[in-house]
Amino acid sequence: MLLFGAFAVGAALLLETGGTQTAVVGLAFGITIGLWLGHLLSMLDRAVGDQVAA
Amino acid sequence: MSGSDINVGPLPEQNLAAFLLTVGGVTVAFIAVFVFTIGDAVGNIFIWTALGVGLITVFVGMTLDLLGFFDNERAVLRDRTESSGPVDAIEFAADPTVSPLLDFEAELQTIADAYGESPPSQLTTFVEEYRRIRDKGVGSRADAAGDLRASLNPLSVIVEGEEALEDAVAQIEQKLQLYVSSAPYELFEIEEVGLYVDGSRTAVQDVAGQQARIKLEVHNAGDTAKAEIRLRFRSTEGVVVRREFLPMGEIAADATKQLDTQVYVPSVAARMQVESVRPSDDTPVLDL
Repeated sequence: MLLFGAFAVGAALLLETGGTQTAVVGLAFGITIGLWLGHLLSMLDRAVGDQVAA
Repeated sequence: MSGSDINVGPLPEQNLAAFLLTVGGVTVAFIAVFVFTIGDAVGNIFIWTALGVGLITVFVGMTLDLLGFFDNERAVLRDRTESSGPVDAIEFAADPTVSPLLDFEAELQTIADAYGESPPSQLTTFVEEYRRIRDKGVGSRADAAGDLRASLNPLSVIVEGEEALEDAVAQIEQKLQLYVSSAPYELFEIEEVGLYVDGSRTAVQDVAGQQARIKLEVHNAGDTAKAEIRLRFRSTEGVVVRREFLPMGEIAADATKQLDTQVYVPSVAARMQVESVRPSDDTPVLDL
């Protein structure tokens, strides 16, 4: 919910300041960052798990 | 089996340099897009965000490297050029799906013992590939075995002149050759075949025109696979008079399974023939 809220607020702000194109690019960028950080966290989790198992 | 593996490190499939290069490239690409498409105050925020994410990624990458997530290319190179210590035991995972034809522990141990403290890089490279096979699924193991055969060539060159070591390499080569060139069903060995009536073994002609039990044992010298036996009765002229398929289900690697089932022996049957055939998917397995 928080994530959706943040996206909504971010999109509204971008729409206000930069127009539709900026809002769309910003949303895509935000989603990409979210996915990438999630992937990094999962890699970290796996590496720590492997280290503990070893 | 006790003992430790030879320390050659994991295989260089991922490394920190490639990771950082990719992250740098992607960050620059993002920045370029933002500069050329947005370019105002919002664009600047995006550019700084991209830089921030890139920086976080670099730190996470370095942490991952410290945790040993990336394979350490330097360690692999060092072990190939310097001595990586004596080879106490070359351990192969006790994986029940791996064919005994891919078990070279004894041969490799013989070679490793001969070199003692400083195993040559050709041996460590081969052991690396050998260890890699245990991570492969049954389907892709044949390809890996092909690669392993290629790694055997340098090893066979360095053992030239040493009879015991040459024998060990020849044995490995023989097993690999058989494994690579055979389909799974070709590695089933059929033993102890016989027709039985009332518990006693009998000849085909003695039970012609009657029901009898056929008993046999199938030993799997390959990876775990499904087995199916084709039974053919032939007349005195050698003509096939009856053909029956006996699906036996999956047989684990190096395991033996017994078949004991009822068959009808045609009245003109003079001899019978059994052989392993490629199993069909839709045949129900016999209740053994």
